[in-house]
Amino acid sequence: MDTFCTVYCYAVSRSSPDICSLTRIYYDAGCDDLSFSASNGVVLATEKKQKSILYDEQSVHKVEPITKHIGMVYSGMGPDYRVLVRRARKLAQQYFLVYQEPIPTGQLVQRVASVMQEYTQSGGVRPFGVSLLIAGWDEDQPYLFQSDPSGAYFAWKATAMGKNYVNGKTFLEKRYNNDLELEDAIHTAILTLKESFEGQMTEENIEVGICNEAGFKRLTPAEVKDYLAAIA
Amino acid sequence: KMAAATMSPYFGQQMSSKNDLVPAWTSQEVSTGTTIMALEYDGGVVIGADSRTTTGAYIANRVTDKLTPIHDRIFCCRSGSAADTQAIADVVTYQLGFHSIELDEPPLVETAANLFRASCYRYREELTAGILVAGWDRRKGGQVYCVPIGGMLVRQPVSVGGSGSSYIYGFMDSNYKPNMTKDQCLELTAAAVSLAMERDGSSGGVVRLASISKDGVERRVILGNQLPKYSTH
Repeated sequence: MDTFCTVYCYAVSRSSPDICSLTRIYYDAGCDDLSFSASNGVVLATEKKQKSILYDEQSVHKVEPITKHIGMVYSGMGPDYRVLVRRARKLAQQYFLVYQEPIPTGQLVQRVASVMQEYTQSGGVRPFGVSLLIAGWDEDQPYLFQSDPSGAYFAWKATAMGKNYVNGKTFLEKRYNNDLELEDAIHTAILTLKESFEGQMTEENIEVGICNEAGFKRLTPAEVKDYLAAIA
Repeated sequence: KMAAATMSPYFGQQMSSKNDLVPAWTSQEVSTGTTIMALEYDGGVVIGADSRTTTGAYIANRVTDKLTPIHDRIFCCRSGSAADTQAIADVVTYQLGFHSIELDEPPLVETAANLFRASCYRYREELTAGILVAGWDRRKGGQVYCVPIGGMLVRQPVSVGGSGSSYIYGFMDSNYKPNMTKDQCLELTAAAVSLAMERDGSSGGVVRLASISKDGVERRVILGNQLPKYSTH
């Protein structure tokens, strides 16, 4: 993550004098999220702490569907994320128009990462202040990718991002094995989130998305509540 | 006698009809000659079509599927140029898919119909496409929208289209009654399309039917030997 800071400062210093403070924002705003690839699906989980109880939590989502079979979540700046979500959705539709098949997860990641890279090498723009986790299911297999502001992307079996990603990853390393089923993965993901969660974890301040052969779905608060009850 | 407008589809024909080295059908567009129809019933829609695609007098495809899904509960019936209608349907599928996932809601039939109309009207000089948009949504239930050549848009409880439709306007006017059940609609559609296929040279093959409601889409095919038989002699 530290190498990215240096890249920003050199590449964009002229157009954005505030780039150093920008990267600070990037880190501060990074809420914890993590994802887990199971043998029969992928789970994305994130905390969604709002600054005031007056916020309408259900009007804004972090876990977003891109197509029927791909979804994503982020860590970083919400407004930048929205731009990428829109872009990803368009890219997916464009692919279908040309190839008449749902876009393979890897192809979508490549295209989105390409966009992110563009913004590190173009004039007058700044890099996207988000890291994405993209989960998908195609050809009977689950996929999980991370895409960084530099445009670099990585495939994962399980990963954590955000403030407490070190602890998150350590926790996942201990708990991951290849034969985990989706249900167990959801359970483990929520437990991992709980490790670094300040305060009471409820269905209103976390979001969970799952992706399996039936497609991608963001769990409703009611469904999340059931899983939370299991770990109480 | 030469066509004045460069966009006239017959321009090409006149050119090569003088040329013996090239068969006439190479200059004739692939057309879904067609009979298509769509009816609304309480709770959904029923759509039907024949299955013949022609290049001139040659039947390029005798088992064509002219009932094209645009979204989970929205279909379109295509008539006119096969290429034009396929291209438009693909573009609308893209636009509606993107729109729907942004909204996080199933799209409205009226929205799909308007997307068809937008393309058909903007490019009206270059296209030959007569499309029926039919489907079910939560707001208005089953709906049928007609987007004929030129790019008009109108909602109708019953609509027929394609070259074969001329032969069944009378049949539809006399046999359609409001508030029919789904099965009555299916029977009527099968009967009407069969009659049109009998009289229109550009329509034939099998009858493809589909019914769309909140519970989903049911598709069926009525093969040649199972078609209702009519005879005036």
